[in-house]
Amino acid sequence: MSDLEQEIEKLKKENKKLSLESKLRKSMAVELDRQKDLLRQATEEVEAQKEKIEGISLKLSRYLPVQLYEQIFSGSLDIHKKSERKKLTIFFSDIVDFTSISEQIEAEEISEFLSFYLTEMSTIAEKFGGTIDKFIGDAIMIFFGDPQSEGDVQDAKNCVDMAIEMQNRIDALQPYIRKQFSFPANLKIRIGINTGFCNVGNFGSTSRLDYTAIGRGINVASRLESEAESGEILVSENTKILLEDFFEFTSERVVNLKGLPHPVNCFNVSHEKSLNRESILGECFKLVINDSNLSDNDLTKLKAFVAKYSEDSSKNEPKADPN
Amino acid sequence: MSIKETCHCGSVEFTLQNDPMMHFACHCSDCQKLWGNSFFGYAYSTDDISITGEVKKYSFEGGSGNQLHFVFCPECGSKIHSQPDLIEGMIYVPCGMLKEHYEYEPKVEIFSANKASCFAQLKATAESYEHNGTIERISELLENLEQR
Ligand SMILES: [Zn+2]
Ligand SMILES: [Zn+2]
Repeated sequence: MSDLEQEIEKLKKENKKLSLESKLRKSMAVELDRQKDLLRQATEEVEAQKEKIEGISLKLSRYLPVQLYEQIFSGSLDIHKKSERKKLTIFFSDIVDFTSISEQIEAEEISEFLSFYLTEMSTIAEKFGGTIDKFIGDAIMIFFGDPQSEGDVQDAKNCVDMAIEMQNRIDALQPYIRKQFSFPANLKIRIGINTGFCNVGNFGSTSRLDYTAIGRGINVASRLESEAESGEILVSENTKILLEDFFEFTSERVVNLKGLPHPVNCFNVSHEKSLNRESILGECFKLVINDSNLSDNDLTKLKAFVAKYSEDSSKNEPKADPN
Repeated sequence: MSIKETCHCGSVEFTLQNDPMMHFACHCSDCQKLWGNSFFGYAYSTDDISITGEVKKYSFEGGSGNQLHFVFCPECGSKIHSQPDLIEGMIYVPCGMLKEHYEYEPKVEIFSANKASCFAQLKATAESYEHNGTIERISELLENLEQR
């Protein structure tokens, strides 16, 4: 083979190599584009899926107590869990004369109003950590103490605080409601609250779970609600005993509740929030401070009292008599 | 250097220039059907092969949306090579065809999730991809090309 022929062979080979290289690079570019496309598609699918799930979750959350909804979506819900006996504070409310009011308003407006009203109330319930058990038309059942409890007293306090905020919210919304839903009269609700032991858990079959509370304590709360005056919060003695340090209770009444063998003492709660009161309950002491009315004189007394228990003299043993 | 080989019945003859550019294995379902099991073989440049004798070609659309062509002897059915449109300029030759010439040492395997469990640990396989590993393989081929 001549030098020239060799040179030509070499160039041919080089040319083939370059041509293959360019083909490979082109294939690489095409494949990269294809993968980018796939990635974009997958991202879009994930986004769509996410939106769908969020939509479903949102729908579900309207029908489920928030706590239960969280349990379901965090996976911590055990449907086989038996019901538990727990001390709950139970709340019932309904709208005064709602039946006759709804006869005077268009059906569509009623359902719009109900959706508005229940959303307002649910928002307040959630704020105070209440478990919304159910809506029955305009009636609402909420309880405190399960799945999370902050202790009997705090659970009851949260419940009454929630009730007060609901009553105040209704008052504040009055002009809006009359205007927006052409309500013929002022909207008023009545509230009944009771504290007692109940069975709470997932009742029913596994295909249709009903997380709810049942027991006599529920019935008492429901009866108190129907006994309550328009705009009133009526609590049982059981609830009042827990909360005497926090709220003003007035007008003790004795009511005979249908289906109960004995009359029940109940009390009206004034619509004043418990915010300014603080209370500590120890094993050997009880301290309640009404912060809003604390005078200088009171404060001096309080400081002197607490000073007796400062760290230096924390050992509160009787001093040995020097004589 | 060049290698001369034939199909099983001898009616197709082919020669290969150069050494394989890559030893690799593909466990995709198409390969499993068409090769009889996972593809075990070599990547060559289309320029490296020349074939004499009558062959048949079977083409279909692969998972990537690109055509794949299978070249085989119509007499005995031996598969000579496949050719992907996905990576232009390349052909794949099964290692069984070149048993006399090379020790097959697959460095790359693709669609590994689909392989039969008896191939769980392929000797010498350094890179294992659950996807088509196309980008990785082309990079490898380009590296090999530089050394030619
Ligand atoms: Zn043949
Ligand atoms: Zn394959």
